[in-house]
Amino acid sequence: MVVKDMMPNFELFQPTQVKDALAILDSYGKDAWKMAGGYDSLVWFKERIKRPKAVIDLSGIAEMQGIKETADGVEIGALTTLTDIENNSIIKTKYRLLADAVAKVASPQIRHAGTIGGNASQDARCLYYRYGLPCYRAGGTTCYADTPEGINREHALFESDRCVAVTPSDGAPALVALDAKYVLRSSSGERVVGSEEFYVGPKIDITHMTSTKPEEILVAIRIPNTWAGSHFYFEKVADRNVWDFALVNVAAALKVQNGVIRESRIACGGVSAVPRRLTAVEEILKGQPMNETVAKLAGNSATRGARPLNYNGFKIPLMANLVTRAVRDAKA
Amino acid sequence: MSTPDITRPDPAPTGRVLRHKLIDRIYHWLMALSVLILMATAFLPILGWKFEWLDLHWITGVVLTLAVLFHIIRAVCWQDIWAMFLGGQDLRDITGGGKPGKYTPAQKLYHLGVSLLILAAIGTGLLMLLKIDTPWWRRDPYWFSDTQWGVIYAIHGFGAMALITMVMIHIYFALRPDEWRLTRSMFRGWMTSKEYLDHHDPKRWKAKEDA
Amino acid sequence: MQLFRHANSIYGGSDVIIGASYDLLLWFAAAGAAFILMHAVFKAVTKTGERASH
Ligand SMILES: Cc1cc2nc3c(=O)[nH]c(=O)nc-3n(C[C@H](O)[C@H](O)[C@H](O)COP(=O)(O)OP(=O)(O)OC[C@H]3O[C@@H](n4cnc5c(N)ncnc54)[C@H](O)[C@@H]3O)c2cc1C
Ligand code: SF4
Repeated sequence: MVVKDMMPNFELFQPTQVKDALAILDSYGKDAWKMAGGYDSLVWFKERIKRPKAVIDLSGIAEMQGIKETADGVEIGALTTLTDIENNSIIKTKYRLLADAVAKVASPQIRHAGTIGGNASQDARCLYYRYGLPCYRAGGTTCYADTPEGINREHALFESDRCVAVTPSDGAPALVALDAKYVLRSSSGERVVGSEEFYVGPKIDITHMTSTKPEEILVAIRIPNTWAGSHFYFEKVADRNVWDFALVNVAAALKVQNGVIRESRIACGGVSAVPRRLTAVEEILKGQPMNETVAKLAGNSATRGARPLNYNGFKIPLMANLVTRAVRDAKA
Repeated sequence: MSTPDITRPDPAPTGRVLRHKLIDRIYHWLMALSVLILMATAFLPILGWKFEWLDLHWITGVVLTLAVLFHIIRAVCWQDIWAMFLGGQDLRDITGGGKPGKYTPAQKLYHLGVSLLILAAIGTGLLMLLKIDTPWWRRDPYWFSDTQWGVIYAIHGFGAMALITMVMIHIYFALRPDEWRLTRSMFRGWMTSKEYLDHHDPKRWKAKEDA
Repeated sequence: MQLFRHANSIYGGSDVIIGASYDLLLWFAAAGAAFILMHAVFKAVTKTGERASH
């Protein structure tokens, strides 16, 4: 029997500087694990499914904490907790979408320690994978969720490729809608990528949810001014109201002038491996009045191309309704 | 029109003999392209170059399968299939240094090796198609147990990785100046009568003049 | 270096083979390079290139 619910041995590092953390990453390579709040990581370890040789606890790195206003917007340290984001006055006044989204994560306890970097980087929650089956995402050669008998109620409607797991994050769709940029640092330099590059689907990399390389650390997330003070809407539907992952969530930012939608950015979570940006819907909405008819049109367009699995067909009307509500009810 | 006898002892040194028909050259280059695409789509992502590789990989695999099927049927029904098989005469050639027929023993051995590797990769690759949705079937991994799939994937992997060695060797010989006549014949179909008589035994390979 | 990729069996204890190990990639490439090098050196030393009937 595999011993579960008991932490295996690993070497623990607790650096206080990014450069020290990077040096440890360089020396351990793929055998190192970056840990922030630990709410995703510790479960993997306890279940003995992921067995890193070295764990780098980033939580002591002051440089990666806090929220500061910049000339172009706001920079959120990757270690900033979800509670701090939820309560931050800049975020609440200018980027309320993100505050609304992180407020829906899990439970107060988890939000107190869980970080925005970890929330955006967290792994898939597919039960087969989490149970430790050697599926594609675990480096194996089979998907157990998408078989004639597979239970795939929580799984993807779009863009699946062998793996049909979805992004479980509530923060990520809001970050996509706000056009966030991700600052990734390694010992050879820094790169800043947009959401379309940061989140990766199984077609590109079936064993990772983000393009963060093993030698890189996500140090901060930058949100540009572009969408500050827009009309926002976030809604999440889960089986339970707290302590549960989204079946589908929607995050929308709309620039509305005299009741007409000038521009929008809308993303849904829980429907594909990456937060799904609804570019076709955004195109449709340009120059349209913000009313029920247009909202319905947006909802119906959002699900075009969906390919339901055996048990997740219900997500199609759910997603359509959430997008309809987002376009109809977004508020400044 | 009379066909000159190019197997006679002193053929015109400027004459050409046909080594590969157009159809066989097309097959060869289609296969080469397929194998290179298959190797690139298989190994580059493993080496860290991330891109959408799967569709290109399996579609190319199906193209290669059809090409190999065509080649086998053509070799059995229309070509001298024994020209590519190793036999006792080849062993005597190696030890005695006699001139070969159309193919040298080394070429036959190479062909045998590559054939086995490609057939192994194709056979296991076709089984892997059971794991993707097509218009004809829904994917279903339970055709085989995990252990059986492990063996299928291992054969596919070993076959594909061994092809790296074989392809490297093949390209090396194709680029060697002393083998250029063979490379040229794979592009243009012919070799000169002099090359033919220098390197081959006309009794064992009765070549036709290049039209 | 490993010959195979393994995964933990979900039933515990034993592990299952899930494919050939990618560690071998470089070894196969190295084998090709070694053959090429040896052949090229052999040909250069024996100067049999011109009449090679490979
Ligand atoms: C019971 C439960 C319920 C939950 N419900 C929800 C929910 O409703 N909505 C939701 O969105 N999430 C939910 N979660 C997930 C939780 O929000 C996230 O796991 C948490 O925010 C992750 O943050 P962390 O700092 O604890 O991450 P960690 O566990 O420390 O890290 C998570 C992953 O991100 C990587 N990582 C972390 N920080 C960095 C960094 N700076 N650079 C590079 N890589 C990094 C780690 O290597 C790891 O792979 C739930 C989790 C639990 C346990
Ligand atoms: S959906 Fe993805 S994570 Fe889940 S079993 Fe299939 S391959 Fe694994």
